[in-house]
Amino acid sequence: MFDKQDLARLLDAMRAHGVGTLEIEGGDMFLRLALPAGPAPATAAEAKPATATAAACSPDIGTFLPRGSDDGLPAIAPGDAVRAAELLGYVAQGAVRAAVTAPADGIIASGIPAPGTLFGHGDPVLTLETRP
Amino acid sequence: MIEVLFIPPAATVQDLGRDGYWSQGLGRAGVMDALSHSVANMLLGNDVDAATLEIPLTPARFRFRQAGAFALAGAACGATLAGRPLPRVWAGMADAGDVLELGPMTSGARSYLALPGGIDVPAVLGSRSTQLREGFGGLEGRVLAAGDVLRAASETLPLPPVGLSLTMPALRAAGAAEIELRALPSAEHGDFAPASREAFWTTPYTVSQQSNRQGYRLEGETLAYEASGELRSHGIAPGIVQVPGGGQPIIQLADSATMGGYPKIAAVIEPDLWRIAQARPGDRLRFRQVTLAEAALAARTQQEWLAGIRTQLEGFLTRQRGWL
Repeated sequence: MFDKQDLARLLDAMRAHGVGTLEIEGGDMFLRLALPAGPAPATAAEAKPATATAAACSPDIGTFLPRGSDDGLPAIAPGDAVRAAELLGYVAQGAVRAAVTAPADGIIASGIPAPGTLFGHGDPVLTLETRP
Repeated sequence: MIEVLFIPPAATVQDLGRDGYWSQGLGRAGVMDALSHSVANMLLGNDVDAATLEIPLTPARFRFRQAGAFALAGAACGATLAGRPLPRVWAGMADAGDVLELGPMTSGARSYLALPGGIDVPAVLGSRSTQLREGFGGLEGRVLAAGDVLRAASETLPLPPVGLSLTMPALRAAGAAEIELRALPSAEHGDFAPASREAFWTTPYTVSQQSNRQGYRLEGETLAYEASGELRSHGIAPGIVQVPGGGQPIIQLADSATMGGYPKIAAVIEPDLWRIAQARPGDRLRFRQVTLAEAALAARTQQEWLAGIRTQLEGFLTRQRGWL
């Protein structure tokens, strides 16, 4: 069986290597993982080999709400430095907002999704450039 | 368990109040903003009547002596946990040694800090609220000070490793400069000059610096009371708008006296008292007259909103459990 961490590691590896689908068979088990088509994730790493990237993933199913609208926080933008576990935005369902947090210290390397963009559990919401 | 490192002498432990002793001259006390207090509790799965810490003045600093869950709701005050910024409504985990810091309030006037199961203080006369005038309830009947320790009433419930926030009702209607308060005409409404009644319902009133848990003094059009003879003292309740001799209104609030002799022009409805609690000196209020039926509907609507939040939070926890 795969637990949540195994799946997250597999998905991260797929994203890092630009693999769109992955199928694993073993015994009576079959696992198929498919990622939505997106920009090739490797380009940033190729341009700046000294940095790595990490995705801030959605903790829930819902629509994106940027930070800084009515929550008393300053908005964030690409290029801003953030700390590990810092709140970057929300995935909201009704009034409940689940926090999208930074997986590591880093710089916001992707655009901020448009408010209302739909995300599933585990979907990457933002990409950070981290310094290993 | 959290330790107060620094706090201005105004924060008190409060729940929804001590009802039932009005006739003996004991006021209700309780939170000023029942909505933020209830939401902070619900984010931790607490009963809405669990005790929270009402913080009307910042900066304030707390240290978690052990890892635990906490929630914040109310004013935007640049809160940080271990240096990371938190939104004004937040529930999440803190590690042992983490410092929670509340900075200057930029919008709203009170923040509520909730702990799992509520803040553990003894119930006195059926409530954990601090009765400041009488000096009992809450934490030793007093405001908090550095060195105080607040204990959670229940074992720390491990929240899912996801921080939570919530969309709250807006303090002002979109685009409005003033905070609207729905109110009922009160006993002496008809004894004010017609022009004063007109002014009360149509012109804004500014919250003065003389504003605290007992009441808010307002500044605006002077209101002329026309009846002759001395008024007897009557029972009053949080939300009552009195007009003393100077003609400037006072809204009685959570620590209101139980009796008063000033003429009463109106009563702000209970579902809007939280808006006053979050109004700052200099903010402008506007009174809108409603009927008793509209007031009852507003109370039901607010209870339904809270029940809806509870349901949505349960849905979130169910989804999270499915993914863990």
